[in-house]
Amino acid sequence: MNEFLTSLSAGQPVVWALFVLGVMAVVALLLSAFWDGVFRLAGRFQRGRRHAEGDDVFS
Amino acid sequence: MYFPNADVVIHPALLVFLGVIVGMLGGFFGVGGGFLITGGLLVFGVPPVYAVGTGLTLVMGTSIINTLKHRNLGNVDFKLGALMVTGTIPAIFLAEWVNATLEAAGIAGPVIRYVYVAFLASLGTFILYDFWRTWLQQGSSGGGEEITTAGLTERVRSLRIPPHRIGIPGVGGASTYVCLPVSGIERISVFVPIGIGFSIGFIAGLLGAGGGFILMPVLIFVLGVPTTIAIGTDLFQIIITGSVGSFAYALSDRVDPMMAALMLAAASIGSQLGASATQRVDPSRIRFLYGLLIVSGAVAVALEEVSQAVPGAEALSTVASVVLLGSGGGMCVVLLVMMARSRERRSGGGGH
Repeated sequence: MNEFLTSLSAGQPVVWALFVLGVMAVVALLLSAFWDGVFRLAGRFQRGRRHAEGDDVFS
Repeated sequence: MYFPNADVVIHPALLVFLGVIVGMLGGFFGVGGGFLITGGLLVFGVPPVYAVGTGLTLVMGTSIINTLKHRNLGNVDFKLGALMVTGTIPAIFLAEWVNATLEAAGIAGPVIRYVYVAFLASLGTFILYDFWRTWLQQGSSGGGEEITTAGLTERVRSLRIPPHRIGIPGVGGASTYVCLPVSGIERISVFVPIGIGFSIGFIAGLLGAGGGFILMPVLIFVLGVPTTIAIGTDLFQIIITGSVGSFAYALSDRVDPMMAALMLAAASIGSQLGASATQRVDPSRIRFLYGLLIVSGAVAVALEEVSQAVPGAEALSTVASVVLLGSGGGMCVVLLVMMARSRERRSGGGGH
């Protein structure tokens, strides 16, 4: 794998540059989706806790 | 940890620290943070060409994350961003050509860098002056979206630039005026945002910067775009300029993808915090903090210049990077404190 990347960067600079850009863009999209999911889950969890606390007050 | 492309060993914690700062400031101010990344990587011992190339690649990645986050918050005006990009891309190439011509003539170099320092100092001072003026008028509650250049934005928005209609084969005539509801602009000539994009791209290309740090204040003070929308739209624009820059550096293999990916992972955490902070901090305070960051950037670039111009003052180069990283880190701490206070106020208000 390492050899393939080395030969790509040396022999095919345009493909290498596009590969670097593509990898970074995909990693950025995945990280964005990951944190989006984490924050949504955290929001749901917090709302769930508030509801539970509210139920305790009125029960 | 060894990074084979840059041929350097750096402790990953340092890169994570830098990544978090860059992500947070990028999400909060809508800047790419190229100057901060390059300065930081140089301090960590990364060779200059790799510092710039890897920095640009990180700028592109963090801008994607920050733009998506701001899009979810409704802060991105894609129409305005697309119009500006059409002006920015040719301007970057024109600036590169002008730079090469100036260098060949032996005029570039120090002159451009002195202009850079003067430009940063003037921009930062103006933003701080604007905050001070609106603060005097509005009081300590914060000036919100009040700016001192309201008259200028009115005039720019009402500019009538010919041709007012253009003929498109097969479609007929189309007006050259658009409505930008996200930015709160009812009608504006398309040539205004295209012209702004062109000017920013040219200045940024000439100065060797991404241009985000100029575009954000221009959108606020010249077009009158609300601060949070200016931040989101600026980030959208940086994806394009960052991609062009990182492509150019990757072509000559001056990027360390492993280093960039590690910092991107850290920056993604900072981005979430920075972007969320724009919803909790008064817009006038965002502009004030931005002014401070720009002024500290001017000080750092000036120190860098002195270190190169004066024999025996090489240590000032390290001081410059430390000033940059210190102000960036300090800014992040201030943001976290502001967010915590806002949270306290909200929970306090909700409790009563």
